[in-house]
Amino acid sequence: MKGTLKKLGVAVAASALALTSLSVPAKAADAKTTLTFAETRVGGVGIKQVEPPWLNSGSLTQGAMFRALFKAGPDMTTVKPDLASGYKVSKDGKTVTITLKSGLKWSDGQAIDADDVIWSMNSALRVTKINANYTTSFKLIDGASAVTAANKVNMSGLTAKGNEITIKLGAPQPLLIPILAQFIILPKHSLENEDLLRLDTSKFWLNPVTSGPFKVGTMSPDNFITLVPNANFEGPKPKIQEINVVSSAALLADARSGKIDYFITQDADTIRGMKAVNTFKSYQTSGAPFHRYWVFNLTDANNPLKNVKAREALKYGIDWVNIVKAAYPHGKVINSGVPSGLPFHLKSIPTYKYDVAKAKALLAEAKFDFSKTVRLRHYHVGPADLIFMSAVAQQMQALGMKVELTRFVGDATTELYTNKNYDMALKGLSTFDVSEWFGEYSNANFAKILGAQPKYAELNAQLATAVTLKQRAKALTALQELEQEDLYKLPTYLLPAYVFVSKRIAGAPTKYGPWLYLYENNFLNWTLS
Amino acid sequence: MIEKPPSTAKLMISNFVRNTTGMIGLAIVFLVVTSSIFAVQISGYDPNMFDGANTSLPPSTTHLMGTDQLGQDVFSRVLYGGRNSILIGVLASFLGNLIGTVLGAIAGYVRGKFDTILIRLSELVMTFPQLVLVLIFVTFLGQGVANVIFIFAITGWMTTFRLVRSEFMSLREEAFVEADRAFGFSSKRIIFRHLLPNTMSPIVVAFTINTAIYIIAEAGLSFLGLGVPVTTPTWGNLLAAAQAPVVVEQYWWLWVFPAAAIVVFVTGVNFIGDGLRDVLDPRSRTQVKEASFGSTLKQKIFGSRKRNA
Amino acid sequence: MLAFIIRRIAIVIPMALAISAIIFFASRLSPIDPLNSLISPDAAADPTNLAILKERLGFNDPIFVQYFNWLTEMFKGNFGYSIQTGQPISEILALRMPATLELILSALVISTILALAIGLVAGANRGGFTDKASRALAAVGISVPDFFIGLALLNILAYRLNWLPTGQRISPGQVTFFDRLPHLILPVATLSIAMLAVLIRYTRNSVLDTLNRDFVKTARSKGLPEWKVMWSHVFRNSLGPVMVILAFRLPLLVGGSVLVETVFQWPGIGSTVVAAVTVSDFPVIMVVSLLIAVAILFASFLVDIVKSILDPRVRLGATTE
Repeated sequence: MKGTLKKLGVAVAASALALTSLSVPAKAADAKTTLTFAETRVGGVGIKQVEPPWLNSGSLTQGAMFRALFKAGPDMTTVKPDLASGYKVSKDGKTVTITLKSGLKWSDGQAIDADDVIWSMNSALRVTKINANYTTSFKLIDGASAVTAANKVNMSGLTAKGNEITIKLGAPQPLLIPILAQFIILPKHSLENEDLLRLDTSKFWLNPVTSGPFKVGTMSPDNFITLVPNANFEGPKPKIQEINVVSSAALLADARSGKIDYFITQDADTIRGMKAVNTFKSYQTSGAPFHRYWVFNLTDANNPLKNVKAREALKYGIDWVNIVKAAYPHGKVINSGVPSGLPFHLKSIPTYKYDVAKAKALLAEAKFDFSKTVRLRHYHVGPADLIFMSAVAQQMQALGMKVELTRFVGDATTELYTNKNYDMALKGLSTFDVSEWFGEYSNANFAKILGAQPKYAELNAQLATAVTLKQRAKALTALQELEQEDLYKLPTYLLPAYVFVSKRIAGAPTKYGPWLYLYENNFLNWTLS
Repeated sequence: MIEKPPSTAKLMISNFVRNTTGMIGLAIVFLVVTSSIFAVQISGYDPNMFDGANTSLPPSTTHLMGTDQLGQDVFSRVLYGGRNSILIGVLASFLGNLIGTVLGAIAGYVRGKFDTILIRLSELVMTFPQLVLVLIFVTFLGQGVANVIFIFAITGWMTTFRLVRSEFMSLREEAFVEADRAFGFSSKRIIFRHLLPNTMSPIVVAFTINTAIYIIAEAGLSFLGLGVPVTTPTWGNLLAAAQAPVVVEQYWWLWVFPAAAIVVFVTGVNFIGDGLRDVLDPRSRTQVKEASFGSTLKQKIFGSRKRNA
Repeated sequence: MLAFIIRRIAIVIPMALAISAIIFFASRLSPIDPLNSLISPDAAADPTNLAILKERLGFNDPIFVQYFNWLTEMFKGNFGYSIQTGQPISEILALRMPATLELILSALVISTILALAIGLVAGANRGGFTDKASRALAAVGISVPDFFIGLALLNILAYRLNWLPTGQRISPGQVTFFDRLPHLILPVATLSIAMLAVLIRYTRNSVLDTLNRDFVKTARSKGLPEWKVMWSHVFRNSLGPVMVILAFRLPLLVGGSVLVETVFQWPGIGSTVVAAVTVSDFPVIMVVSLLIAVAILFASFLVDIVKSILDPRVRLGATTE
């Protein structure tokens, strides 16, 4: 027996060593040409694959590997050629012609052609994980409604002749080109036999065929990705020869010790802490604001906030300015879906002012039932979010309300629109265009908590097809007025992101566009010292 | 043969008073409980007072343990958080013990199929990683103070169950129980009047130990953000601030003090447990021949002390 | 012996099945639609496409059919898909299991060696400095939450002094085990410290037990040098009980690693469970808990057999106490 136990001990030790010697091939990195990028967007542990670019596409990793037809400037409105050399819009705005550059190649040597573009745009309507920007936009193309995952029918309004792609729209769509500047074209030849419904988990993402200046060199799931130059890229050769994509366990400490060179974050404490790190430069990102706002479950007759006056009381009964400042020092309190400072913001909307007496008067006017408990929910998990939520709960309690605050246990979509076990919930939305914010009021999900909203639907249709600035201003003014009248959503704050760039990087831009979107960042000319 | 404990309450109390470890533990626990009851008076701050002008301050004479990101006084919150943490630990431990005692008494007295099923179940639950089990229950039941107490209780009844069961098994063969049966006393009377009082000591010890375990478990669960709702301050919820590496590094006072409170209180409870074990368990003073493997569980509770006295 | 093993298997298999059924039905009773998470709240999937996927994944079948299919697929090694990431669970496990085993086994080996050494010295010199120190350590050790130790170590050694990585398992360019040893140091230290308190207590008691045995007294009376008595009689005989406890503790270590993995962002089973619970990723929770349960049943089965080899009375008597 003694012998057996001893053997057992030896076996345990041996297997520990055997397991730990599983190795990952990699070569020694040259600090002068290797950039380490901390991927901050993916929640939780590590990196599992190259993030499929059809949901969000703004990370440095995706920008280095994938390309769209056009490349946006940091302002997101002007576009430059990328895979396409140019485009033309017909006079009535209903026909768009795009010319593809010729001689382009995928990283595996195959030609990039119009078929890839047509396949990609049709597939976007078949996959399950897709950014609403693309589906909303592509559904305006003729014949889009016929495309589903169950068939092989393609959009009749999307055709190609040689390098010329023609898009026919039911109505003029001013956002199509900026959206196409975000939409990544994927290689048809590698993906056409994949199950599109589960495209985001395909093995393809472990070593994707790319169109950009880089491709995957080493993929170590859960740990890191190493990107190396793509020899088939037609543009100038990048000065950086290797990109390590890691997921930092502690951004501040890793940045200070020089383990990472570049990252983006919204985390208030990290942003504050980075001020003391003088080896980095910081920039606030612009465009595509991150909205945080309250949604109310108004189909529930028992919701104590069903009366609009009760919701209005929240504007004044909670010290939004100071709470936001405490939880997110860089956050900005907003009072409208079109935040102040942006074009078409309605200046007549009063800003939130902490005024308990006014709040109490409004609650009295609403005949607020203080015996009912307000079920307060959120799904964000960051420490700052917890700080924010508990401060709000405390101040609601100070108004005399009973409050029950918990995080949604299930996934946010189910909890918000199906289970609906809440009275008010904090939601987030990153809007490429302000139409997304107002689009929520009339979409299918919100109908489950608000009921049908034909008024919003009509105004949203006007906004979507507004070609002139005057038409746009008119639609947005009407929408903002309606929003204030109904208070179905209570706009609360914007959460900016910050880019941190190591000073050893030269040639990096001084102006950064929105976090989750692709734009020209001059990456090919970055150098390291 | 097991010696009967010299069980008059008075004797036990006087024994406990003479037990240094136990008394130190009692003093610690008393101190922590009292100060958490008078949290506001002692610290001079409302634990929920939002103060935008004094956020994230390090410890100073005005704020002994500093302030958090909302300007709330950490000292006050640590004391106040003790209320809920201790309450959760004690209630969960009590409930778990109750379940364990009832099931153990039935299994030990009735035996048979029922006993076999329960013993298998307890084996499985006991060897299952408790935190994982708790997490699974949290997924189904959701967060909440009552839920956490319930989950702790149904994942932590086994120790008591097995103790009571084996105690019953041996006691029911004792002469005095035989005599009871011969007198025609009902099973209920035998269980409640004669058997249970004789199993009280291990139950009391298990109660203190479980309280300590649950307070630590609550801290872990809340640290993961899966414990009681954040509006209920507990030591674990205060510690959850340390999920952010920046907080760990830059605002050490936000997590070191709540953790210290846990360590102090749990040490106190464990000392009481040790003291009680010395006083209540007759075997701690007698040599008992124990099979090395079969009674690992008893060793867990009684083992470490049995030769120290 | 064979009859005993068969008897034990006859208990283990129905238990595993019962557990799988409980886990499966409980998870299907939950109100969460396993497909919904395929869309984040701001993303839009066409409802028709979701319906097609739902049909294809068999969510429209009667629940008993689903259970049967799930069970047969499990036997084939297809554990289903994670709701959160859509990955096959078998792939997740294949990635994460080695990470957790690496962590647990390293901690097990280190803490066992340390505990044996300290426990032996403490037990042999009862009342001496090591004994007192180790008992104090054990008393405080069981009162300190293990993740607190981890946070303290991280804060000092990684964040402030920058001697060790701030977490995770492999950095770019690390090829061999020794390359990535720095990543392993802090989590293993944390887990080992957490285990040490209990293990030292066991070893010390086991040594004290052995010291009281007759053969030790005999050996001493024969005039053997003390170190020889300690080594060849006391230590070897104290090892048995400690080893059995270790075997028992292996599944419990998975629980211990949950918090440690979270603190160090170690990509193992523990952090997988936490991530899964946070978003109610039932398929992952189901598979992990089922695997743990099966591992436990298997471990207890092995321990029973080892016990029966050591002590024939177990084979004859009840299998319980």
